[in-house]
Amino acid sequence: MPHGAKSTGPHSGARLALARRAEFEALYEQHSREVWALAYARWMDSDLAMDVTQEAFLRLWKQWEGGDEIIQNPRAWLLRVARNLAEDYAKSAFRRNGTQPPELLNGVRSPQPLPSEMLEREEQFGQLRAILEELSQPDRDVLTLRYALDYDANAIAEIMGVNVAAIHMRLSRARQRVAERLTEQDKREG
Amino acid sequence: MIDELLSDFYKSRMPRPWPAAPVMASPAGNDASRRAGNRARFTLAASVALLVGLCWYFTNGSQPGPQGPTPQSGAGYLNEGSATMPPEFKKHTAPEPPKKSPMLN
Repeated sequence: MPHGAKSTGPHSGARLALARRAEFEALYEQHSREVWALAYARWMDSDLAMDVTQEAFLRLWKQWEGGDEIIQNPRAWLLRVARNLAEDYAKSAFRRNGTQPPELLNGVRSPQPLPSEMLEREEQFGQLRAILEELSQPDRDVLTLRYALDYDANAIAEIMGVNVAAIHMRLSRARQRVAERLTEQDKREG
Repeated sequence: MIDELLSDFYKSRMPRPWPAAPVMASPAGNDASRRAGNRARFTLAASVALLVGLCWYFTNGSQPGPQGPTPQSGAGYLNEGSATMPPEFKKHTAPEPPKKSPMLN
């Protein structure tokens, strides 16, 4: 691991920097989607989740630069920082002022007219989004990791630090709840 | 059906293409900026030193040394010399003789 090591000369310093950058990019490639998924599950806002992801990785880099603390498990560190950042967002002025992220507008993000199928799909996604927002935070975490990243129950259990049976149960319950709510909405509209 | 809908929804929310890792200044870049900072500090210090030197020169350095007489030394400043009034100056400052009144003629 290059981080935490000290350079002894200009050439070794440059090599260390390159190795550190390569390791950083590998970590980003490996874990950035997980970080995004957890941030997205918190606020259901793709842009905000990406901001949180980038900020979490920037903090990891600064932590390496500072060298004050050796990060033994970067993945756990990143997920923890991302959760904290997402929570901090709740206290921010931006959130308090009630500015709506674009996705709150029923998923329609572009002012350009969309094809009718796309509009129908976005409307359906808007309904789904509203239903997902009513679920508990852990349920949203599980669903996001399962359907955004195609993680199986074992991988989700590892990230969330719970046993696999609990993940299966949570997934099943969340899916059932979403299906019931969609059926209710269809009946109301039909 | 619900699986497909959830999968489509979540995948549609993911940024595409996935953004690259955030770019930070590399340690090599830090060295360069540190060197530039040192250069700037050196230039600033040299400029301040030059300014102080010039100020000192114009206030103290251009006057005669401590051996020479100073204005504060009073009469000693003239080194016990004497001065004479130039003749042109005497001519201009001498009172003119009073003119005779034409009535007296």
